[in-house]
Amino acid sequence: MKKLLTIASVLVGLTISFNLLANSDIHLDHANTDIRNQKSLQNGAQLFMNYCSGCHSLSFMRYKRIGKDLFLGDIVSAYKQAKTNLSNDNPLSHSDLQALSNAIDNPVNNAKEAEKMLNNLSDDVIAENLSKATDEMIKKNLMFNADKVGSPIIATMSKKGAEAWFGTTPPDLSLAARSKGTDWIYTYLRSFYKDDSRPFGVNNKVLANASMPDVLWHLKQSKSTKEFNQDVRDITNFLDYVSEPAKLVRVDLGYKVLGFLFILFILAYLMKKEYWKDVKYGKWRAKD
Amino acid sequence: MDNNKNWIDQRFPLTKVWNEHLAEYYTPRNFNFWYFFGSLAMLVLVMQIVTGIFLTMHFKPDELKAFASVEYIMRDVNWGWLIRYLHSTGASAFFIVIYLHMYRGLLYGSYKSPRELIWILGMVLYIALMAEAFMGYVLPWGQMSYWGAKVIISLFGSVPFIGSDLLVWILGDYAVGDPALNRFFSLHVIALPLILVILVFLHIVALHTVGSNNPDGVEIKKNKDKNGIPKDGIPFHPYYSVKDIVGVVVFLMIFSAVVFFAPAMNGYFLEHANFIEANPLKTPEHIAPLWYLTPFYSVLRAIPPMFNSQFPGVVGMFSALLILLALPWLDRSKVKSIRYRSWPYKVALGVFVVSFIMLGWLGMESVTKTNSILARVFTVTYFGFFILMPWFTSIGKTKEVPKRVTGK
Repeated sequence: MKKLLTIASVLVGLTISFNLLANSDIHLDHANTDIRNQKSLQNGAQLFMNYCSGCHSLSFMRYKRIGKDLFLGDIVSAYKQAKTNLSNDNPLSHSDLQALSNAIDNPVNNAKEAEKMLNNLSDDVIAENLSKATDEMIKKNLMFNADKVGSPIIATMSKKGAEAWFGTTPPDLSLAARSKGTDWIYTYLRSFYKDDSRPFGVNNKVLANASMPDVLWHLKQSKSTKEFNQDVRDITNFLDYVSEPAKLVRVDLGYKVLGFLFILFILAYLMKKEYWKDVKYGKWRAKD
Repeated sequence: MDNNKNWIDQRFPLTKVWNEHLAEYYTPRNFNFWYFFGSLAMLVLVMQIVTGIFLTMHFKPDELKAFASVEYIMRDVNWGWLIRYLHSTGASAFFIVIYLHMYRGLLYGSYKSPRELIWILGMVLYIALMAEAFMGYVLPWGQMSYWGAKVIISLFGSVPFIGSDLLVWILGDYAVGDPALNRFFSLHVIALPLILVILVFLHIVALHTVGSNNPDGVEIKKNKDKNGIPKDGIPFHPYYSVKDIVGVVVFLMIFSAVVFFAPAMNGYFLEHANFIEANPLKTPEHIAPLWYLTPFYSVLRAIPPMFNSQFPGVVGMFSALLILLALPWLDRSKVKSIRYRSWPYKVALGVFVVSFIMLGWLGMESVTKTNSILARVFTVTYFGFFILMPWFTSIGKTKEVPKRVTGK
């Protein structure tokens, strides 16, 4: 039986590898993104809003969610820092005062004022104010063509305009990282080359005859290759987050669940062993 | 407590059912690893129903809203992503568990007399499960949902004479669209789950009538002690209930690893192209059903059209499925378990497993010259396993089956 299994697995392996060799796709660079890298995600969000959101929608993503997932953490920790400084009677910097006014939802000018107002607020109200401050920040820095922070990210360009100017509607990128993969996005954005036969003078190695112009050309020229690659990686990372915001909590939760199940396994195994003593030596041992 | 029990027992056979099916239901003492998969299949069924109930609360079976409603579940519904991943991973897990459960039957001859009906009920369950999974896969209304449905449903159009009418009758339209999505939703959440639950009940009733087979293929009921209890039997509860709990926890560990770390399983559990909304005007480069249906899809593609019709392929595909029903009568061997079978059966089973896996893999690949030759070869060996079974199960020397189970 074991011999048969070996022969069978060798046969299966050979045919599969033979077929894999026959497939030759376009080479994609490894995006190497890290969804835990908050700074990268923030930079990616900013770059996306500046360079991509004019044409591409993220219709399944709300501005508010981006604020909550990517920026709220910084605002909360700035407030905590400021509060520590306040309670230790350290001098307050300008950013500390800003962080405190975020929590109070009113401008404050000095430590005394801040302390007095903070004492009147419950933790829930402070949390609410910080989230409100995040919304305001998103409105100021990331929202160029919407006025409600709860609205989805919709491109400025009309469909009609897109048809006229590009011959096609730019795809919604909400799920691009899941359908195309991060490696594809990372390589695609870095694979434009000069081609005078195309309407925008550029073509793409990954997607031949792409209708999209090389929107990042300015970024590419003003930075070193390493910096530019990092920017593209950040955009890719952001799109990866957008395609599945739950990914931010999914993996951490997974370790906890597995940890719990492992303990449960030990208990379940010990229980089984205890019961099966009856079968091995006790009442239910093999007869005759 | 006893009063309450009596009160119920006078009105409902609670204690009787408990004893007959758990506390005094005698099961062979020598079950091994392969015997976990029946209870695991039940676990997955319950999980699919529970997660399905919650998904149904938020899903919209509407051509224009279905895709967005799935993303709404993934993003805006509290814990929606977890419920959806449990359900989508559960679908694949169901088939992994069922395939291993069926393979156990092949290994130890569990389909042989007197358990033919258990096998047949199980096979009907398997076919119903495939229909359930296929319709569930259409609901998110991604590109693969749409085009997969189009390919599979178009098979019915190849039936001679009535094909085109049959197609319109199934779809409620001339193409896959809103009416198809609505009826698939209805079948997926009501009709098929109901059938599955009833069939599982019948499968277990039939099993408990004759009792379980075991890795030795020895009938434990032939050796009873003076109290009428099989000498090689132990009560299902508590011995196998506590053992199955260990199996359940191990299964949940593997299952959770997929749900939390690789829910799309690199395109095998959730296909990449299905994250693009269905577009009837844009055919994807490569259309393949999900992995659990691909062995049969391969058979379909392997059989060339005859008389300008795809129908022979369709017949081949359904025969590949239905021929499994005849297994109890194709097997002529005197022994059940692989442990005592003759070498020709061992070789044939090996060839069959390789054929099934290879057909499954080929069904996911695009058609090339080598691939279609391979698919034809494995289609022949797949059917060969069944057609030649009466012959290879009656030749070769079997080992002597012990009177009592081994490995006590």
